[in-house]
Amino acid sequence: MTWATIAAVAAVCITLRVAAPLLLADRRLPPPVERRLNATVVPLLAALVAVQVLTARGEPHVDARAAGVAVAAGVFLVRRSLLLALVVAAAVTAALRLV
Amino acid sequence: MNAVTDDARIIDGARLAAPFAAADFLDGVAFGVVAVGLGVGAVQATVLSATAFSGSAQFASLTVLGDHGSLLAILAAVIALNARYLVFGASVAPSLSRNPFRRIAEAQMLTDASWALSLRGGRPNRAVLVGAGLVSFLTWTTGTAAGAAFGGVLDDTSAVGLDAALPAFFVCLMIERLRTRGDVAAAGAGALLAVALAPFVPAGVPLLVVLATALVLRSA
Repeated sequence: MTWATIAAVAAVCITLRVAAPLLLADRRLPPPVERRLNATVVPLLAALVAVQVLTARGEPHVDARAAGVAVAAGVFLVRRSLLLALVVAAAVTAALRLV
Repeated sequence: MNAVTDDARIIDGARLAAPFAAADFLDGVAFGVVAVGLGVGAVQATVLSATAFSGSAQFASLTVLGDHGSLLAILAAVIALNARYLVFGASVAPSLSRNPFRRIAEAQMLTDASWALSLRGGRPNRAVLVGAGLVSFLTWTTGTAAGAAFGGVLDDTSAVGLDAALPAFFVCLMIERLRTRGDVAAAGAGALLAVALAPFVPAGVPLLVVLATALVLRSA
């Protein structure tokens, strides 16, 4: 990888992060736009998890990790503890891989 | 906002992100190991992690590089994978500092996790964004340096199930936001759409389509 490639990849990543905050300066987004942006959080998180857990190299795929994440979700629904849920996710996943 | 509560929330953000700091570190190690294995210099890999600060974009860059892809192909993959950060940036913009330099630094702390955490209270919270982002930034960058330097010593995060921690974390953040039946439907639709699209489009595009669809469809 050349330094030019590194600079280009870094420039793209940084630009995507700072573009909106800089262009908006200190103007607030109109409330309807803000509500719309907020409404993207749930479907986007769901998609993020689904792509990570239910696909591998683009193909649908289920493994121990999906089970670990599902159990963690159940635990979190009952006991609202992020830390506990993460520990459960890792433990269940690791245990299933041993089987 | 006074400085004391601001600082307190930075610590809050860091604490919230702490549970997966180990996973971020090991992901960083994995990136460093893979990068050096492909002939990328250790310093180069570390600089890339400290500037691009994006696991998906950096691994994709390595994949394209490994396939002897052009710079243009690399950048196209990076844009597809990270275009959602344009929207993340817009959604946290109102909470960021007025000072343009601080603004840039704060926006640079955007990750999927820090963004979602910063919106936990309903309105974006910049201190949480910075606290959570810093934890990821430090662990990802030092992990990369360690992986690039010691290569191959410790690159298997799956044995201890740590690779499940991050998706579990996102699931929890999502569950916290499920208040109405519409939210549950949106979550199901988002997940289904992403998995259905994954075989047919390049990585990153399913998330973009879900994001665009949600922006258009959901006005509530």
